[in-house]
Amino acid sequence: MNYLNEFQQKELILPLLEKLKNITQQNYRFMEFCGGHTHALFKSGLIDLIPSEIKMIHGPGCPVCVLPAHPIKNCIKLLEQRDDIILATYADMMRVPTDEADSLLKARARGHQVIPLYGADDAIELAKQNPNSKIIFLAIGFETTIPATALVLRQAKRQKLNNFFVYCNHLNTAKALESILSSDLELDGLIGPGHVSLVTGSDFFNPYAAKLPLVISGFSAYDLAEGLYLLTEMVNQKQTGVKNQYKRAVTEQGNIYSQQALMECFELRESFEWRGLGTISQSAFKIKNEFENWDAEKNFSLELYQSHDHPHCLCSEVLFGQKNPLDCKLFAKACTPRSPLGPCMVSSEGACSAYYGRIQ
Amino acid sequence: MIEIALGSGGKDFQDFLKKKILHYFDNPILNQTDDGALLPKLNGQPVMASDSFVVTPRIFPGGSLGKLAFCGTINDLAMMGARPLYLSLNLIIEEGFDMRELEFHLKEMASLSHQYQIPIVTGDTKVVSRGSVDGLFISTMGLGECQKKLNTDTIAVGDKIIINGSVGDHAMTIFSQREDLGFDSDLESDCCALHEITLDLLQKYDGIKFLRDATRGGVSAVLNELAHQQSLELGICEDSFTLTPAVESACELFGFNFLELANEGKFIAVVENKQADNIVEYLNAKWSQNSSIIGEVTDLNSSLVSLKTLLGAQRIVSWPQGEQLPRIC
Repeated sequence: MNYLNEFQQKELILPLLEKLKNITQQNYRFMEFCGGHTHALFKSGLIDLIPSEIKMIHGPGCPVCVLPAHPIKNCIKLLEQRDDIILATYADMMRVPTDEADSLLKARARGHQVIPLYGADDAIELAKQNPNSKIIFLAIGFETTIPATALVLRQAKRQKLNNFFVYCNHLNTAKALESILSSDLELDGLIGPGHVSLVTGSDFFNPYAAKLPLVISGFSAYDLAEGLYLLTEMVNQKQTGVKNQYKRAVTEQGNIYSQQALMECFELRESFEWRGLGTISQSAFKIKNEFENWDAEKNFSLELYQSHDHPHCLCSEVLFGQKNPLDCKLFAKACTPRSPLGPCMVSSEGACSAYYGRIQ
Repeated sequence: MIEIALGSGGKDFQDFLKKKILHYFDNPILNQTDDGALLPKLNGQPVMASDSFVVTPRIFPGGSLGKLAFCGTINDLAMMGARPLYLSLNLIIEEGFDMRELEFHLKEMASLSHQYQIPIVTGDTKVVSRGSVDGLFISTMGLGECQKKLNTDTIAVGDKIIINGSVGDHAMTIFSQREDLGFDSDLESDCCALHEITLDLLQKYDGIKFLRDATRGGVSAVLNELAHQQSLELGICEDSFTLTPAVESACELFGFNFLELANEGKFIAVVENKQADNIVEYLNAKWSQNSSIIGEVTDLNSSLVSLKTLLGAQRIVSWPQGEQLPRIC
């Protein structure tokens, strides 16, 4: 078993879709919270094969998409003010546009030092290799990537690194879920995030599944087809609560070690401004005082700039599942993956980018 | 170590020319050491191609900058239906570059030049100050004579699209080496000269209408170019491609689209429907494993590439969008 092909086999998936079709009794409004699921639905073409009664609403679980422009603007401003800064961040942050159509990729082209990373620990290596520079790691993501940031913070403290800083823009899944559940989206069920659950455990979602069913699913076409089958079945039987389709990776308790690392290094912010969802209290993490020597916000001036999205950009509505990318005037015209105007076009996990592969 | 004086055209350069360039690429035309190369008359229509090579790292499993610089231009000629005859070689070297490494690349090129009897007949060497280039850039120009003029105007609905093997090997080899990702693999670049294969095919089969090597931008770029230039609708099938396990795993792990990955030894051919099976069979028997029919021309008068996914759904294959960046999670 190599965990690659087994879950993509049409001999397994097509019969499952047939079963799903057979139990469909009504129209369903399901949201896949996670951008990874959005990407997988479109990449495999599953989105076109599920029964037409099931409407998928693409949720806000793409960390690149929901990050407002100001952290990127802050970073660019800092790079412009000081030439001893090396900014390191996950590679798909590079193309995210600010409201002034700037980006880290463009800042790099102007000669500033911006390094795309594949893992948080590479940022530590960068700090050791460049003792005369200050490395700022622009950390983003939900609980999936937070433990990795926690580990590099611990490492920086242990090794007394004085040229390594984390600019924490990590997000709290729970608050985003609450925000969706209190909206007027009229959802019948949720496909819960697979990788976040790996860290948090499936029990974490119990409070959010009190009124509607939630199925945690893996990322292959088979996982998603099975996840949708389970969810449909739960709706039909008027069940609520959490079911775990992704048992080969997700346990009830999650990864305790990662949770401890998170608790040790981070605490909740008073509030955070999400792109699309607006300002939500306690919806993001900040670095605890014990690690303030490595907190970029405490060591550099990173004031909050107000950012304004393109006036015709519908990303906010798309992120909230209220509009479809095709409703947007800019879609595939002014806004393409090559030169995105809104965040949903940047990451391949964004709904607009996923739709771009479907209709040009 | 290469010093800036070498590029100034004085005594240092003369020594370099004699001891290195003429030593490795020894042939009557180059040995004239004139400003250019006086070539014999060609039998066919002349075809010219040029390319520049700036890869990092310069040495990687399955190839090197030197090998790429030779094969890349040869392949451009081959895709034009030409027999490659001569190459030029331009070196742009950063001051302080390691002479031994330079010789390594020259040797790689010389060995291919001898193997295929394609002499390097002229060239140029520049040395630039430190930081002006990243180590070594090589540019080559090739001259060949056309053996068979490919005519894309004859492409018809039902014509088949063929590839001569697995995809993504070069891109993932370079990626794994460049980013120090810490995954061990048996990845090896597919970098090679393709002219012997294409000349053989063109001589044997008269139904070949289009050839293009799937380098930067991969299969996706080649097919989109063809579809848009010729107004064709092309349909390909996901399950007809071969990916080595290492490439497949890396695509899954880093979120790469295999259709957009660069190759250095793969070409896409559009061939007459009736000859397609024979061509694939012949390719697999004589030249390369895993050649396959990946799709066909489905319509004229619209410019579109579509992919039938493993599940049988249809998806658009869009133009590659800039640099491929790994997904965060």
